[in-house]
Amino acid sequence: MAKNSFGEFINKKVLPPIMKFVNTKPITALKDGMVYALPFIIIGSIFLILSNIPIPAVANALKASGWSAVFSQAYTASFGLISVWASIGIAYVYVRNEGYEPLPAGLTSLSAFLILQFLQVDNPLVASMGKSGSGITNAAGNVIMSGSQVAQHIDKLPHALQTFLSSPVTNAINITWLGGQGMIAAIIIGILVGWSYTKMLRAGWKITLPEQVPANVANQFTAMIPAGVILTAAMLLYAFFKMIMSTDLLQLIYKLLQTPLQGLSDSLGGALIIAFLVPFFWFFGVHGGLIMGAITSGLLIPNTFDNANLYHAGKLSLANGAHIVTNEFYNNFINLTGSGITIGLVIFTLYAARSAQMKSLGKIELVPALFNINEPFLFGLPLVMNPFLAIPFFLTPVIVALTTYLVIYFGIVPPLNGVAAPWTTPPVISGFLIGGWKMAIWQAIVLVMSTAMYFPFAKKYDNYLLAQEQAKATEETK
Amino acid sequence: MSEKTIMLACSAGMSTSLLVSKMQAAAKQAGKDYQIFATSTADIDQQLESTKPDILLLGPQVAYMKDTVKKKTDKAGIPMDVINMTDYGMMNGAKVLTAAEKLLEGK
Repeated sequence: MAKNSFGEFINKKVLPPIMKFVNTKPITALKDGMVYALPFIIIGSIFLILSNIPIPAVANALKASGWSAVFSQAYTASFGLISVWASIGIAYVYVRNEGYEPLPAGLTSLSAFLILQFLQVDNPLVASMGKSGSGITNAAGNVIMSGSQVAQHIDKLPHALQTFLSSPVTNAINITWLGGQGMIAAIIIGILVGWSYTKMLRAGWKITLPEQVPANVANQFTAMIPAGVILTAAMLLYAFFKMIMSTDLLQLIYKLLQTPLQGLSDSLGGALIIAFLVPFFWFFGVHGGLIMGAITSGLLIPNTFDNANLYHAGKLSLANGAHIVTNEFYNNFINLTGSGITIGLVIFTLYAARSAQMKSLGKIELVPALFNINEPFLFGLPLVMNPFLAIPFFLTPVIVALTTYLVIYFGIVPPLNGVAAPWTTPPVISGFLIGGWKMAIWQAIVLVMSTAMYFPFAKKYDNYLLAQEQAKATEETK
Repeated sequence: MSEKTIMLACSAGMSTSLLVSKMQAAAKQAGKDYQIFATSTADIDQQLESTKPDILLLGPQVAYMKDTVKKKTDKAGIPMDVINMTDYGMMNGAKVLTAAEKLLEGK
């Protein structure tokens, strides 16, 4: 049987190395460490919506009353700090899994993350000057002096003052790097700190105090040497990039690594590959959603963040650089109603199925499907290793990814707004949250597409199951 | 106090919590007093320490983690196994419960 040997080939040759990779310490730390960022992303999303409600009259009233800025503050200090959460969380999980006190490592990682960036912001005047500049705005966000006006007036100042006004403001943490832009750097730093911290503790690099010292006091010193070594190394790296290349590591990683990778994840090809691999892994009984989520979230969350920032500024459009493929594209489209977008199967089992197995499973799956969970189908129907349903199972996510990409690309539906809804948010509701009413309608269309895709194949499988059940029944009555 | 504590783990603890309620119903029907709960695989370490379950069952979708998890449960000295795929899919609480009891006895 060609099919079986193919399955065996995948199970024996293809999956083990992938599983090995997924189970490595860095990937585990990345996957489980990012979990700590999730509550802040989701709560921050609520503040994001409040700061920029999609009804102009309400939004204007909130802006005028100053409340928009208040909501922005909460958004910036929650969702806006995702790289901070990532750098702490990843190092924390890494060291926790190795069996050491994890918090000092998480904090060391944050410290290293901050050491490796310039603690300065560009002078706001620089960005506001010129024709395309933002001008000078007051606290409520209204422009009180246009960009070109600013530039004209600056020229009247003495030269020394001009230089002063356009040089960076030091002694400030630049929140740009604490958000999506610092993400890949935060991941790398988190993993490296977790790894080196564990290595040093394992090698016995710690201060050993006499036995008379209480354990709690002694514990405080455990972190001292590893943290000292890591922070010194970070400082030397900072010095190297600043003095030799006049840049910092975060900018370098952002330019050389994150920007191209984000672009890759945001391409049509990237979307299709991600959409295909989720059911591919599941077909072999492995949690595809989890694996792909672990691999892609480091890129898709920054994509989400970029869109959130554009939405926050009221400038969300593809022309302004909004991404099509974000983390919500993954959670709330590719995995809508569960991996393989199996809502079509639910509808079939409830209304058209005749075999007892499908009928009973439909009842079990209906409610979980509304919350994007479909393990009953994956294992019970099953979808795992089932050639009858393989075609729609593989193709539905790919077709949904393709069409969703295109409707956003051609502007039929606006880009995802960067609001993160929990992945368990029911369809249509999640669509509304992550992209407005047009996105909600599009999600409803996706549900119809899934139904059309699965119906013919489900019917064949149902007939097969029914024939089996009848054969069994006649055998028993004999 | 419950007789035994049964811990189930899957990726996020979402789909296993469905099975938990089915198992609880099955246990109740059989007149047994078990504490059954679901968690995420990331949380296994912590739960082994804090709730000290008597047995750990892994969802089939994270069966690939069996070896790593087995090391942890061996250390804690409790039995573990991966839940049968069909029983999991059909959410057959009674069957999974029986399998768990067998494992517990075999200890």
